[in-house]
Amino acid sequence: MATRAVMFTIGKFRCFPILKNRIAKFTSSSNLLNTSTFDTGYTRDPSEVFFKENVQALLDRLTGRDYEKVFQNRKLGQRLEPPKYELLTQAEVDQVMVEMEVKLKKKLQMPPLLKEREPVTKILSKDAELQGFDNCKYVFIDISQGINDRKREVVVRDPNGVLRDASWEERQKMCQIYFPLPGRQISMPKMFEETHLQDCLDQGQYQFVLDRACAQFEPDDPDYIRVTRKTYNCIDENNKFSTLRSTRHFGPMVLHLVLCKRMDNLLFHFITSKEVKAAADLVRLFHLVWSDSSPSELDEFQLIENYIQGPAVKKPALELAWQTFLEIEKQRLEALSQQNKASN
Amino acid sequence: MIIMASALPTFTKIGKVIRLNRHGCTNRPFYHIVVQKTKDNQDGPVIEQVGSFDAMPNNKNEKLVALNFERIQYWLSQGAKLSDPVAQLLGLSGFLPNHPRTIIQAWKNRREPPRERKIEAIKGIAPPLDNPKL
Repeated sequence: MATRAVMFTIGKFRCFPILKNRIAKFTSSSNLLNTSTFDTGYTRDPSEVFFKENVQALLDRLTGRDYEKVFQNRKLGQRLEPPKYELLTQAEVDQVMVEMEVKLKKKLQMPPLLKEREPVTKILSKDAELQGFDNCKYVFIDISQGINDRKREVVVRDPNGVLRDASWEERQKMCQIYFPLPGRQISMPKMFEETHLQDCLDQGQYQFVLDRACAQFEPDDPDYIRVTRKTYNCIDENNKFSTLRSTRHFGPMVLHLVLCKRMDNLLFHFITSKEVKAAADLVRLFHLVWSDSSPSELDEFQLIENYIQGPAVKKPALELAWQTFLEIEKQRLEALSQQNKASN
Repeated sequence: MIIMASALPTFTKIGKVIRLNRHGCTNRPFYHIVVQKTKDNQDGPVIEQVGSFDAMPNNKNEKLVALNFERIQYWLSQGAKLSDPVAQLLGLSGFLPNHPRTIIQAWKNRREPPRERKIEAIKGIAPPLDNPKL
């Protein structure tokens, strides 16, 4: 049983505590697009940037809208149905497209990038008179209906008489036992341990790993952050960006790379596949995240050039790719203009 | 003033009680916390299940208790009584004050650890199994 297509509903885009701005740490590699396994983490709180409207709009545009890929039949252990063919008028077709757009938005809803959660330390009561009442701890969960799992009361009475709020791991385990979510296991699957995770990523199973991580963990779980960052870094090193295009994970991956200042491989990928709009959007995102301002250039080509001359890390490769692209563009425009002259 | 007999409120001796119903199987108890009429048997009709209690500790040495506090509050407001074990569990969870029985049991355990029953080997016949529960 593999994954779960949609995990987060709009209700889960709730306000997480916004912490003070931390100074971003970054290291840079001087190698030319090489696959070194350095770990550029960042201490900045990603949720400050992720939930901004302009950032969300840019990430949405970058993700793309390949209907074939989003709605393809995935082998997830559910029964596949043969396609239905219907005869419709244009108005009905438009209606169906509107419905499909809503479904697409739901499928492409991005799992949020959050800071690691703080451990639970709240103690409700210290009853020294209850010490030794039993030699195991009692875990209580409130199974009243209609409560959000994150707000559900889960308390633990330790053998030393202390009554405390359950830790995040205890809480998630109890909620999964009494209110199970499909696709989630009670204990962490072995797949997310380091060696097995590396095996999965070596096989190129990026979307599977990310979907399963989405189903298994909460977005502020340290394990979720570890697994997703490892996957994003792996994709970046192997230049396999097209596997995540038009999936819900592309946006968070792009934002992660921008925050790590590792977006040059992605920019190279966009330039070589001639997606100028996407490259320009990426540069705009970079400026939004790092200087919190939209750049003044309206011309996309100028924007990308300024980035390559300025903040880019892998300058030689990017410049080469950009020059090649410009030449191809020039030739294409010349050919077009000659065609126009010939037809006139 | 004449008071008619029918004007006096009548109290029945059969009330509702929140108690543990034993399910599970031999040597493996699992309790449902239910609301029942006092006269009904423990395997008889149940008005509502308001929780569960797993008496066997799991591999993390935890005993899991699920309690529907909203419904327990409702039934208590309707005059349901609590059995001792349920009252103890609610005390341990913090919903009610600590039950005197829990405090007494804790004190007894601290004074003298629970006795371990040991079966002596009988000469000429096989020694007892290495089972701490026997």
